Amino acid sequence: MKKMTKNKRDWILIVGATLIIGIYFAISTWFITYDDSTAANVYYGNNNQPIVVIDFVNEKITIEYQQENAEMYPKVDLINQTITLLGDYKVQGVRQEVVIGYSFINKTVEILEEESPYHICSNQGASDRQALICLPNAIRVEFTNTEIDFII
Amino acid sequence: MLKKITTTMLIFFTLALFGCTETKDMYSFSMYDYMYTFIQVSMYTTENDFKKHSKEIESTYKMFDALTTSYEALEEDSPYLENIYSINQKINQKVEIDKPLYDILETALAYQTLTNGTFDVTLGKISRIWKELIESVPQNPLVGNYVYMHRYEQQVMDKRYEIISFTNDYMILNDGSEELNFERNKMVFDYEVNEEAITNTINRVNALDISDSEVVLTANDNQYFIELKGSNAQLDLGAISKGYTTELVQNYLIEHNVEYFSISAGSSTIALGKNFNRPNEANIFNVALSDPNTSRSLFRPTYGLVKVKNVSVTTSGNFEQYAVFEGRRYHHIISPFTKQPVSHYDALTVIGKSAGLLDALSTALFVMDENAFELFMNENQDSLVIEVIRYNQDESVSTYIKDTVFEDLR
Repeated sequence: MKKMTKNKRDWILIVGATLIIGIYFAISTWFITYDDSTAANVYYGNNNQPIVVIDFVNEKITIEYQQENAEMYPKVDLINQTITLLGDYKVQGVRQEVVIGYSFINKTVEILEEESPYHICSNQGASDRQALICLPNAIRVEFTNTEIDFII
Repeated sequence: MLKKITTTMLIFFTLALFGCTETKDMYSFSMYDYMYTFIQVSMYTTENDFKKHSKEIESTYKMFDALTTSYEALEEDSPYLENIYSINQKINQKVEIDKPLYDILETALAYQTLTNGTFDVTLGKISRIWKELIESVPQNPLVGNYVYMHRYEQQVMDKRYEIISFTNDYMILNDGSEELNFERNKMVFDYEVNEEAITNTINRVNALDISDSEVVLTANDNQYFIELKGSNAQLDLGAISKGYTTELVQNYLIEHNVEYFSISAGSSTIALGKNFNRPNEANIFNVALSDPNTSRSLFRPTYGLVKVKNVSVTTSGNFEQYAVFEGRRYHHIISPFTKQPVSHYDALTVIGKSAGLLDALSTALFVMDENAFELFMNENQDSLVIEVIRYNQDESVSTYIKDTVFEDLR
């Protein structure tokens, strides 16, 4: 009789634990939220390494390397929250600047100024997930988001 | 003699062993120069194979970029006979073309038949006129012009205003009854094109008769020919070349036993193998779908997500290239029947095996009204093995899904 009760208690424990785990999983899948981006990487040209990393978590900007043949770039302005690179697009033979704005509060990046035929990338507005691509300038911003692999 | 054989065998064996132990890793490379889009390819392979594959893949995109562009002539030292640009200058002439161009044209014509002419590669002249309108969208405010405001800060507006005056930080706008002051950085809006621009565009396309447009392909003894017929026929492979080329690249990777890979060609075509980074989630990729409704948030949001592997995903929508007039979007997807942009839906995503087919279908399905759409899906969904997620104009989402997991994120 005593043994039965112990067995019963075990069963209750097992069923209870299973239920709790089950409910936890159900809730976590039903209320799945795709988290904010943790960082945005700025890339230049075909280099697979980001040239600048905008870390939204630690609110930090890191320059990974300098642009070739353009010693001053990238330029970081921490007060106005901008990063300036030299793009590939040329006006009268001169490469033009691309000004990228970032916001740690909103976790967003925006291409503020660039020269290109249709200003496609500066017209895209601010983004918190979608990549910003400046084709004629060979500059792009990609967001680090653990949940989303691609946006189409 | 025996010693020699043994030594040779030993050397071979050692080499083979080294070959086997060459470690695989995730490698990726990107291209800015082809098909007016950013292309990125990632693959899990050895360093040597990566070098070989990336070279091959780049040359495939490079070739189809040169062959299928309707904007530029081939370079003088080009190895190819003709491209779309040069064919468009030779109306009603039979011209010899290279096999790869013949193949993509043949595929495009097959899709044209499949969709009863809804997918049409001879609309070049019409789409060029609409593109001119899209390119004429003002970049800056002009007194007397209109803006269409989707959102102001957190508030949904969906309203048209006349620009009364503006500074760098503010715009004074009139909604027809009163003048209001808006902070520019809190506005989510489009500059509208004016009435004259719209009327002019519609008159120009209406004046073009495209009913006699025809593409005739012929082949004999390894020679391939095209004859483009019609008074206003101009080829435009923009709605298939990216998908078709991506499919070739995808097939190449599969043939070379690359199991884990991804190819993203711009914001509209993705071809996927398995995802190396999600071993515990059945190697799927999470692909988020862009929300065409710009008024939902200050940023470009996503409305849904699909969990996929070993497939391609293609999206068509009215939210990337467009001009606005009286709140209506005049975009780049043109109906061959009305010669005008179609607005049955806001966005449409197609999932399936063949990226070329998906590219063409996402355009064709976008043009079909709901009845034609239903009919097409009933007849072809199973045989084509496709799935569709459609974002309707009333913001509802219709899904035509078999196995794929779709999550509505709104």
